[in-house]
Amino acid sequence: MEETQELSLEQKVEQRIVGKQLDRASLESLCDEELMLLFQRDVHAAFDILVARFKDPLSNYIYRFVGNMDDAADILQDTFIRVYRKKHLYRTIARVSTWIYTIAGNLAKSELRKTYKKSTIPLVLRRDDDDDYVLPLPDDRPLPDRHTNSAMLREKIQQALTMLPEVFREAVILRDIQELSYEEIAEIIDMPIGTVKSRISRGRTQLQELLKDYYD
Amino acid sequence: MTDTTDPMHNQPESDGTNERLLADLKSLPEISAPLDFELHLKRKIADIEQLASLPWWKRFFRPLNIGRVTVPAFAYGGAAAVIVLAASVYVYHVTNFEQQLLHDRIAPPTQLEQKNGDGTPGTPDDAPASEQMEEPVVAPEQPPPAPAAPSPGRSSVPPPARDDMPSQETFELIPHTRGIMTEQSIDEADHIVSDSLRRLDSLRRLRSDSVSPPEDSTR
Repeated sequence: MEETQELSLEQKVEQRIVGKQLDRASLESLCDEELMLLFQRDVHAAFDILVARFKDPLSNYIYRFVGNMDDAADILQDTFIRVYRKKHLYRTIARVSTWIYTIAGNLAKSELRKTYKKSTIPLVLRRDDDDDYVLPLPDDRPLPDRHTNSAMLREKIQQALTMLPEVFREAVILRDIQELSYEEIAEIIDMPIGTVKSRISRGRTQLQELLKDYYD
Repeated sequence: MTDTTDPMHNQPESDGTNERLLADLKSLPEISAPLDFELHLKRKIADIEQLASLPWWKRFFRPLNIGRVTVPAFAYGGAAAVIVLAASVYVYHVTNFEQQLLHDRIAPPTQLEQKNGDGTPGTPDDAPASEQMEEPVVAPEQPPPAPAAPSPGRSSVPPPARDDMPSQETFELIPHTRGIMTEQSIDEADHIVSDSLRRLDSLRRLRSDSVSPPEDSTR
């Protein structure tokens, strides 16, 4: 099935290259995988379209992951540079979206580890078992009449997200913010679907614990 | 990207999570990429392509970016010059010190005599005065000391003493007075032996000059 799909994609791409239907307007209608195959044949317009398609969702994902706009912009740029330089490593058996999300996630985790090394107080205390004990948020609860302040609540949600352990944070963001399917998430984090569901569930539980003052 | 027909995706979230929290997570504002993101990305990719097109040896002479710090290309030459200079100074000092050590150890006796100032011969290694005093001086009036036990490889009969060759005592004394013989090379040891012989001869000559010839008692 995958092989026939790959052949058909290859054929489509070959036809486009032979027919010189490589203007931006005609490329816009292609799927991500076709664009990636064209880019592998040095059609740089295909890369531009891929950047235009993925820059905003990736920016959102990376920002929610690292919690810092400057770092997110740098990681986003590094992600596309890596896609550009490693285009020959892409195989059509995987979706382009999951491949790019995997690259972005790995870069974001590397950046977070650098940040953790610089920080002096660990936010997450690791135990021997898989369960992580998360330090509670500082007790700066808003007054009851300010509970409706949605901007403040969003800020608290983001703060709580950055306090989750990496594996849970990644799963929760991909599922509840990026709204990807379990199958896509499993492909991105390279884990079975059962593990994905477990991580999402535990991540939500910890998030709810961190935000219990807001969601009673 | 999101497969809305995926049954797993649309299954109810029944893990006890607060529905309002899930709704708030979904309604978090989308964070977009910076406006000039594509421009910066293209510029960066152009730099990478330009770098890739350079010959490998030219890449060493490009400014280096470490994080947000840019190291200019001429800094490489400066760093290399500093390293070479430091190594040269170090090597010069080490070799000069070793040469000084060697010079002090095997200095010729003429220089040492000049160093003493009073014309008496010095020792090659500038030994302290106490060591110099230990050197036995054989007076011509006294009888010669008992010969040392003959070594197995040496003849028991001493050769006859002659004025133009060192005496047997000289041969006996040299190894004992120079304790560093075994630590030195053969050439250095030979040099020191010849020095000692020369000094003993000159000492003997000095004594013979200073001692007045005995008066003829028969007169």
